Amino acid sequence: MFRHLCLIKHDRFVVYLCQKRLNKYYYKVYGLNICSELELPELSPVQNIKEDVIIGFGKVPEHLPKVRGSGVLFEAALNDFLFKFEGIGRYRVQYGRRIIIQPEREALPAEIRLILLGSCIGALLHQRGMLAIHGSAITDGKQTTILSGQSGVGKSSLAAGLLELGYSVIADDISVIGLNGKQHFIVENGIPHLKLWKDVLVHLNQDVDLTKVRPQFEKYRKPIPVLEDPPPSLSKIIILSASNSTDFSYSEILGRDKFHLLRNNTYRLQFIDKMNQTEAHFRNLSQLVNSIQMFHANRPHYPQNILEFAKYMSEIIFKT
Amino acid sequence: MPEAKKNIVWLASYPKSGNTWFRIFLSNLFSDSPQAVNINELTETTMSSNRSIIDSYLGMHSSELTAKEIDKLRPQVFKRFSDEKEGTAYVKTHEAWTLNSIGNPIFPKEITKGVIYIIRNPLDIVISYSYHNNESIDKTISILNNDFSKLCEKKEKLNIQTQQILTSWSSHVRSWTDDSNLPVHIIRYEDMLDHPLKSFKRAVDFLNLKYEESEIINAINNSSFDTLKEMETSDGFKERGIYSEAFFRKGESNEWESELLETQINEIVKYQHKIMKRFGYLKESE
Repeated sequence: MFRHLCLIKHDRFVVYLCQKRLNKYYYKVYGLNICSELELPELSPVQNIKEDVIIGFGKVPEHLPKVRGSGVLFEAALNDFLFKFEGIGRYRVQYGRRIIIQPEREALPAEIRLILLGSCIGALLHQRGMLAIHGSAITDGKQTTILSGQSGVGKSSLAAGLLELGYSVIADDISVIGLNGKQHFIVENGIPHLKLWKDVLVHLNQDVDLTKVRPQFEKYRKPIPVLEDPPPSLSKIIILSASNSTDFSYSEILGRDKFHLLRNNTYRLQFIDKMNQTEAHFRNLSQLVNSIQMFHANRPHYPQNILEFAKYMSEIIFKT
Repeated sequence: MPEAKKNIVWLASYPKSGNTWFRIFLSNLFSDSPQAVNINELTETTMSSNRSIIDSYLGMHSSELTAKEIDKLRPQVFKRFSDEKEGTAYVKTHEAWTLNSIGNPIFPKEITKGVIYIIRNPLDIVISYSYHNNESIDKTISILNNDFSKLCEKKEKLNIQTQQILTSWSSHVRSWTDDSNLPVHIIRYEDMLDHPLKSFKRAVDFLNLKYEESEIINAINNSSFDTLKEMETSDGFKERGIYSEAFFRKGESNEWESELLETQINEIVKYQHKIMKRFGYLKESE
């Protein structure tokens, strides 16, 4: 009956919910067990878990009762975070434990998930005091490296190039740092997709018959294999840049610059102060910074030569 | 949001009109050192289309938003940027002054201290811009004459800057000087070349900056074309177009007289003559 009513309303999201509402879905990402009322096909499903995080639907207020700080689309307080995007919905993230979604009628499920698995998961990770670096993580099975840098610099493209060369991708866009049994830093398995623009897929001669991140533009989700083995220790973080130079280049980052660059490349850094998580973040960075090597790596803006850059970077990453 | 501060100066121009030159002049003026500032370390300005800044205030990747969505949100981004900024912020833009999809100016009046609008003869712009983009003169003319021209428009790739509405050259000039209803000071590129002290001093006065004439002269000398060209030759310039050999190419006016074909001149003048005449780029009789 519900399904019938919803179809009359032509309400895409309600239709979707009516089809799925009675189910609960279980996933694991960033080392966290997630129980969700919303199906999240981007994540790896698991069974029989005790959940760390619950994602569900409910009423989300227009504003938080006590706001510590805000941005254009978000409000933050201690253990409370609100994200709102007109046309998609409102999200409330609390205590690093639950995310409540109030979608708007016209919202597409893929768009709801895009914000959920981006900024909202970012806020949840910060509430839990976890360190999340903005970048993709790759491994050769013996060591792990994070490729970081500002948006548009080519982190995912380089990860796609290294994947072509036979290396494995652990995470794209958000690399969450954890500890293994030997107390070594590792990167937790992320969402098993690379988000790639059409020009990159075409450049790498790859199929563009993939799911779009949003229907409005040519950015696709390319599935990547999920690592079965425990990820190897994190040994390097590379800060990428692009310039109008003609050659690839790299240099090691030393001293205080390591800390500052790591801080500046934290995923959704702007949430941290406003959530009162600055001390935990400082502590996490201080512990990590002494355990890893960091490098600057620069590529030419043009021409785009992803595989050549990937070969160049593989020498730095895995053979130095 | 607290009460808005009027602390943003928009350094606006059509591309290749002298905006970078003016920014370098400002950096030299603000510098404590009598030496010329390094052109690769211009810390005084940012860009209106800087994706990192937009992402930071939004709290999400602008790369996952449409251009229309970004423009709807950018006035709020600029208001927050203004609120957090101590003192005056100088923001470079090549965008036309426009309204977003909900009718709000992308460059909000309530945070605007003023606009420096740098204008250059479009006949010279096409030559400089065609070198910058490694495009033909004819293709560049079609960009200048097109009211729907945009920068960083491609939908199949990510640009480090967000999409910008450029419009045609005349519409760009009119948008800032007539439509914006902002305090605008117009500087002609040609006057910056021919009468640098008078031209830069007027801009300094408009910005209400307190500098001695000797300091302005020093900043002008430190941002002379020869100095900038020498710096670029020696260390490169990070703002050089990816397709061009040099950013600082000739630094002259009236290059069009020897470089453009008559048909090309006519094509530009046909579309741009009203504004060209208004700013002294055509004789009254033309």
